[in-house]
Amino acid sequence: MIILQILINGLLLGAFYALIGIGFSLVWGVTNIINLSHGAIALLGAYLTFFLFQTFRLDPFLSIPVSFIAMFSFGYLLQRYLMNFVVKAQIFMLLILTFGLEIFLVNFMTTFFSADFRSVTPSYAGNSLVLGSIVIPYIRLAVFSICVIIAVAMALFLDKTWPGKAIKATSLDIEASMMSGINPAKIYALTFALGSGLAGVSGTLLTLTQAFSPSIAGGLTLRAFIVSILGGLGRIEGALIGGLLLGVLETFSSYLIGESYKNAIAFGLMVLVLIVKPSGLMGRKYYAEVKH
Amino acid sequence: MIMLETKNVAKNYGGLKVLSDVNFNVTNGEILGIIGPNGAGKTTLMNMISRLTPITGGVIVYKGETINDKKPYEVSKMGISRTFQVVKPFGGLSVLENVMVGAFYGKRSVKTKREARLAAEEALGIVGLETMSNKDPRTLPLAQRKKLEVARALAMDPDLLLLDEVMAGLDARELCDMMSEILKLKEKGITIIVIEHVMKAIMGISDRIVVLHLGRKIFEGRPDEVVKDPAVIEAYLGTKYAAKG
Amino acid sequence: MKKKNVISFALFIITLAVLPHLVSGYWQRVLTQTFLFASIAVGSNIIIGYTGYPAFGNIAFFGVGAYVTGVLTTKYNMAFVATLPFCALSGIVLAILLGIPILRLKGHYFAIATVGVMETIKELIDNMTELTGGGLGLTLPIMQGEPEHIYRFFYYAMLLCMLFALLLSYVISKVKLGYALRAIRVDEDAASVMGINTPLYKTFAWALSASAVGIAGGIYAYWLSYIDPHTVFVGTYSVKMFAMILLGGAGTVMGPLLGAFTLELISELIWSKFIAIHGMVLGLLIIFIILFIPKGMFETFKGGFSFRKLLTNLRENSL
Repeated sequence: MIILQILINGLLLGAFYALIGIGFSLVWGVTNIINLSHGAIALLGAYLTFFLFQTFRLDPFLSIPVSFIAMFSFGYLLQRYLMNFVVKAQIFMLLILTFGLEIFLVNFMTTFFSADFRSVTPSYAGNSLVLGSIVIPYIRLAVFSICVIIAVAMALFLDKTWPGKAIKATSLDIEASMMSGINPAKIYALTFALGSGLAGVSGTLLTLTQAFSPSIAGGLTLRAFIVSILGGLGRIEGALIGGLLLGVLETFSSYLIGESYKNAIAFGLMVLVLIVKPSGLMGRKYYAEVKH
Repeated sequence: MIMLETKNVAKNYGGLKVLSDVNFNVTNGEILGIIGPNGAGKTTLMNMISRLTPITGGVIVYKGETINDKKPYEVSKMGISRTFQVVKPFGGLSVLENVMVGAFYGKRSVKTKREARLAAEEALGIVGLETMSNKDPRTLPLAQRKKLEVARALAMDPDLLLLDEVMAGLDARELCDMMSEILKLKEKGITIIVIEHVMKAIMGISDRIVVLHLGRKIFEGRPDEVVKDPAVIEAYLGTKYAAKG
Repeated sequence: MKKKNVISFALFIITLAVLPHLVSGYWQRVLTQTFLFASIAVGSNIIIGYTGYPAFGNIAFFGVGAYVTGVLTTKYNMAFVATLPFCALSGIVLAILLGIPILRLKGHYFAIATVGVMETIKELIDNMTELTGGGLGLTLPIMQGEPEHIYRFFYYAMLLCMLFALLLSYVISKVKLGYALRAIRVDEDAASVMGINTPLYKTFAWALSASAVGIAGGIYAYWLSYIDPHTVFVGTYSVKMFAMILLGGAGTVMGPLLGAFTLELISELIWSKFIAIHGMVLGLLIIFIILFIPKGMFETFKGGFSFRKLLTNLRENSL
């Protein structure tokens, strides 16, 4: 029974990883930017939620759209007026630029929001669904559902809507998409905005499931990275499966080997996948990869 | 004596057949031209001979030895040198230094900088770039960059030289110039395979010509025979019409 | 090297050699720290600048070197200086073992794989409590003597480490190997058909790079006299090192050195004035370097400073 409980915990955690991975993977797959400040942007969303809750008692679930819109706008501005000046430079320039941004944001949050661990606990935080010996907190179940719903919505957006199709086209072949009248600069900005918006939402959900401080930004980014590698770039369903896989793996390895090896195992797995199958467990090549 | 021979060479990418059953050989001191319309598989063939691309079927024999399992740096030490269709000089190194890399690591594999410089200067002299030694290769015009590619390959002291579209994009005068360079190399005893998709350039210098079309060899013979061959004419005209339609 | 350069470099070294007798303990510490970063930047430049492999996690070798010195001095009572060859060796062995699988990756993938490796090693060391003290850290034997004497000892030790890295880097740039590495950086396929055994040379370059970074780690551990996984496997150091290499000019011998001096001294000036927002300013500084001077300050400002030159990079690299 304990195995089933661990599996469920893993899946619940995994859906959150999937959500943080989707935005990251989308940005990487389409614009070839590895956004090392993704975790920090998620934390901005988390702090927004935290302050809205503290000041206005706004229910964290209700601040999801607020986080999304705020981080969407922030991401749009970032891409338009910062990243865009470096997109054609050597790839590691972007890597360092986003790391510089991460350092800035993390220190900004530490200075103004303090380095303390924070959490958001609405009145219903303790309630759980009990099925025999299995315990599932309602909040985690809600977070899981929201993550899955957003993943499905994103997949539909990319497949069915005009902007979504333009994003996909740009990711596959930037020259061809330019010839068909798509402005790649706009698509890049839109993609980055979406990725940041999704990061903001995952930050909001983060506040509900664990304590956070600016120091966990790097850990979030690396998890997003692992999810993208496992799932293959820019693929929503890939990120979903990659996230769930990572979540289950982490909870099981914590149980079997010990909490302290959790990261080593996740990173070890990532390096292994990179070596054996760099396009991800279920990935195919994206334009950005072919080019570089 | 046969220097290089391909036996039933084939290349597939997944289900896509790029080359099938290609057989030809090159004898010592000869210039072999390989032509064919775009997509014929010429560059793939060249990548297979220089061992950049895995060989899916058949064998390639060089100097009596099968080279299917060799690495690019191994066959280059055995005397195979090549140029690239898209010229990529090593930026940050001067023209002379670019050519020195060839002398350091090709079949010649000299140890000291002095020897490398001598070999590089000689190679630059052969292609007529000796006055450009200290220039940044990225600032050279296309024709000279192509010559730099040839010089780099020459500095390796090759027995077999593969020239991948070194004449494409050159104007009439530059073309004449390049053709006479290639004939000069032949006189030095280097065996050469020239790949072009422009027929005219290759006619004047090749001893024999192989025509590829859609991954198959459709003709092999003397240059004057090529232009009369119905299959070749159809391959070229056919694609021309297809392009127009 | 040109005669003028030889003379100015000799003057630079002589100045650094006599400086501890002229400046305060504070500035000796600042300079020691600068030499440390210069060693890391110059050493890492061999794989990053010459060979073109963005080894983001190169600090892994720094951390391992620190722990080699830490463990050897505490558990095996080895003299500090005797541990340094082992620091270099640890870097070389590790780079060879990791290089064989990881150097097959390119670009982003290589960069992040090295970060993954760094984090994994960090966590392993964190868990090897018996040997490394784990999260509690490791207290090294403290050097005996007058504080002034100790300051100078580490000043000269780090200076020598920096000179070692520079010498390594200079020799590589001048010999056959240097040509192979620069060819690999531009086009690996072209390098390979020219007869360069690319896997071998890449691994070799990484091993040399790791040896210099490893020694710096060893000296750092003894200098700090206390290490734990978080003080020696620092992601920020990776970024700083990258920024230094870029600022000075990647792939040149002196660039990373000058980048390290510029950034570290600027950073120190800022540190003393704005302790609270130091991190934010560092972040902004890195963003500034990437945006405006990614080719290095010497390449960018060849023939004089101008604001227009700053803007050209923006135009070149934007979509």
